[in-house]
Amino acid sequence: MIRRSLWWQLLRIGWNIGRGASGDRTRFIALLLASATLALIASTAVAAVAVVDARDGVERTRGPLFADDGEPATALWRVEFDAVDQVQHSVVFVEPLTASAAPPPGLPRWPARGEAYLSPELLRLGGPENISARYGHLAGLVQRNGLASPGERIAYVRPLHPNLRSDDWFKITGFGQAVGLGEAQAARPLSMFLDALIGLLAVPALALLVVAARCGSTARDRRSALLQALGGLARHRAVVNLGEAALPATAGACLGAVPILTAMIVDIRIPGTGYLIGSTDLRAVLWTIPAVVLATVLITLTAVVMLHRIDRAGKTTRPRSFSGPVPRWRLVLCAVMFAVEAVSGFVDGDVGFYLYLAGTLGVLATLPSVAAALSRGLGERIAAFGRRRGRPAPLTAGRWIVAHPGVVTRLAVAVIIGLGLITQVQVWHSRLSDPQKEAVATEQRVGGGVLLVSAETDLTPAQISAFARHLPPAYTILGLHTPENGPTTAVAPCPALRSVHLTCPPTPTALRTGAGDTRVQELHRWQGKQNGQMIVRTGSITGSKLDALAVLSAPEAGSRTTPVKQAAYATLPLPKVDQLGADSLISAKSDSQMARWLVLFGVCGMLILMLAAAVSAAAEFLRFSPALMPLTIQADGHRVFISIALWNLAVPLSLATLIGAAVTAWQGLHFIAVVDEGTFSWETLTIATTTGTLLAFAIALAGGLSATRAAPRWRPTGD
Amino acid sequence: MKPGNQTNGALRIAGLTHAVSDRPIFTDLEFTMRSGESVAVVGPSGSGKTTLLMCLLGLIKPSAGRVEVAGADITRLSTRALAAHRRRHLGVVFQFGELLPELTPLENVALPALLAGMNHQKAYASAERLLGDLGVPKDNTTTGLLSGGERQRTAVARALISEPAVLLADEPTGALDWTTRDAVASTLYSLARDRDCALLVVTHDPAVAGRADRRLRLDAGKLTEVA
Repeated sequence: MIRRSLWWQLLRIGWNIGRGASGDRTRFIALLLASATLALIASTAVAAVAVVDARDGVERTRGPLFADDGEPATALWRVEFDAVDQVQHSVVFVEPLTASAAPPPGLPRWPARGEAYLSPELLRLGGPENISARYGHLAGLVQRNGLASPGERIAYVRPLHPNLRSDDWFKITGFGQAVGLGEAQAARPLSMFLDALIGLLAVPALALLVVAARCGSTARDRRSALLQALGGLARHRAVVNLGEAALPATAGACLGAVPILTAMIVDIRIPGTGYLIGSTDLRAVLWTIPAVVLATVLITLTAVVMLHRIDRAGKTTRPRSFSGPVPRWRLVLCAVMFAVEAVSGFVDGDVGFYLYLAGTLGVLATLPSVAAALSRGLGERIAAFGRRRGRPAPLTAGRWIVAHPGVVTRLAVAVIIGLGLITQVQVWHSRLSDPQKEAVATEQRVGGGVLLVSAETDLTPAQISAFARHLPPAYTILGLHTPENGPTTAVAPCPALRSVHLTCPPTPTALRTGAGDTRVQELHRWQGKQNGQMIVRTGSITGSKLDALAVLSAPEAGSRTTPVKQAAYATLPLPKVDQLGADSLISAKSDSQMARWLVLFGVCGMLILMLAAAVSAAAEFLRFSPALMPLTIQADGHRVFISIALWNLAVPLSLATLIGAAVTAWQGLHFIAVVDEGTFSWETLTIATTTGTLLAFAIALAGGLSATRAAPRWRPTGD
Repeated sequence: MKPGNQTNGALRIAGLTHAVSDRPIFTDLEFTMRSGESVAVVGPSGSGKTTLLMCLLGLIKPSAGRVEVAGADITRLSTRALAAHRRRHLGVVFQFGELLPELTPLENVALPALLAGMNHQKAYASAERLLGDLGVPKDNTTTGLLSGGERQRTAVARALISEPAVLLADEPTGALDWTTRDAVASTLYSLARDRDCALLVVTHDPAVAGRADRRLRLDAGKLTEVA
């Protein structure tokens, strides 16, 4: 009984500590934020698992069951790919064979001939390309039970004039196995997502937790020291710590679960990536949320108990520790690493790349020492400015920076490393393979000015004529035939050849490099790549054996792709319409979408890191700002705290952010120069830099206001 | 001429009563201090000495009575007016000095004057003069690296820079050894006298109290003159 009441009393002591002075509130808020961040990340992982589970579930129901030899088929099925804004989607062609055949999951009925069902997201994103008319008449939307996610792009199409005897159709007996349709076809493994989540978000979140757990608290330190003096053991202190941290840990964990709970009510689009999460998918994991909250609380409390810091501050005006000077060799090493990174641009091949890598890592590793030295120098200058002008705020703030450079250094390093990581992630993922680079170059030169149109079989004259009739007049059609082991032959009547600046050869002639206009040159470049040179022949496209058409349009033709695709789907069986280098363009787009996830995680990770550093800085500020409070009783200078906080935190951190941004920009651009590929996102850097600067001012204002509020409550003690 | 000189006393309390949760701390206290006079308040721990000091500083509003500093009853002033009045007429020395260890003594002493908006050249000159009078090093050594006695003398200088009518000292030698204590106490009393400043010292130390012109004992909520 007595024992139980002791624990209860200790818990209550801790509970009351959590409602103390401003420094204690900082710790409370820090623990709350750390717990909320952990819960958010854990619930994101749970959400990812749920999304993949739901996708796999739908996959298992909507894939076709192929008919065995001799087994009566109920429908014909075929999947092709198309793209909207160079993002690929599945186009599933279907043809029911029996009246009783069940339609694919998500479709209320089989589409009629010339009808198509589109997913809502495909309809939304394909609006500018008139997707609703591309595959025929829009019959309706694919329902949620037929979609891997509400953001999936997929189309079910029943061709107007199908060739039912074609071998390109698969005979099926129904639906009920996974074959990798739609989103599943391009999905990255879940482990890759979780790795990124852990590396870019969970690690910074744990850093925030460590900072929050070690965040100073005057009331906690005093009671802890008292408890120790009274003979309290580590377990007694642990109970006090649990009492103190229980509320912020629990409140934070609950707060962190709010986003996933919200996402269980409405579909939420993830900013930066555009990915739409289905609320129904997440509801399946509702039962795990209490476990996530509980686990987060336990992790937070464990960290608080394990990382308990016994503080001896507040007993004397003698400073606890003036940090020693930064060893000169570290500064020299940083300069050397900078030099290595700079020189790497002039060294070819792998050696240059590895020099760049070593230089970058070296700079990031030695930067804290330089930041500390710079902080000190900055502090001295700020103090000298304050002294010279007789301004108490810069004088005091400058002296504090000199005495405690670690505070500013931690903030600066978090910003610089965070900015550096984001930029590196962005730049590395903007790199393109050689085919991707070529495709992008072609895209920049001719855009959709050259489109390759093919179908399930060789094109018949009737099909070609019908296709040509559907096209607006500004388009030029060249027929293409590529034999098994020979060069591609382009055939077109003389006016058509002349319109693209080609002569009309009386006999088939190999095309010279540079002949024709830019579009022909690009066509030559891509067709010649696969089969050597390209032959040009004057003749009718309907009178030749053709396996593809090249549709050339002028820039003034407006949206070049839309009419061509519309004509192809209206007239050709199972058609395919691609830009030159379409596969590479699509894979580049897919890579860039992946990069957007990484940049999103990187930005969030940097924010968490900065939050950790800012919380640490605010806590430190609130630890040493009470030293000024007795003075303000005599001098009525409560407002000075805000000025000091701005000079002490906002000014150095803003400078660090700007310097970090400059270094980061240099590193990123230098990297691009070294590897001769990739693009630098000034937008990402601007967002990160602005966020860093705003956070610096926000944390300074919060610290200053907190100290301002605490100052009038200061009372002399020591009787 | 300072406002304090216009009245009979630089500091006067009348009918001062204070209670916390119906528990009386002191009742109906009365005394007056002239400019240049020193008074020591002694008494056992828990007798309310520090509470009395905080009433005189205006940090605690008494339950009843008046506290006149330089002719104005500070218990009736608004927060803003009280802060301004305190800045002009009151100086305070705390037991642990309460200085900013990262600043030099000169900067510490000049700080209240700078916060009060005094011209910085004048503030530094006054601080330098005071530190010279008190024998505190004026070089760029940070206050945190000074000895205990030097720090407390710096605190005295800081309290005097605004040339207050009343100087309050809360156990000003409480954290010092015997030798240093005498030197600091001697300086405190002589400087206050030289500057025509009323000095009220709250102390446990009979030797420090013995230097005052008058000694008052606060016990059981009553203030009595000690012979």
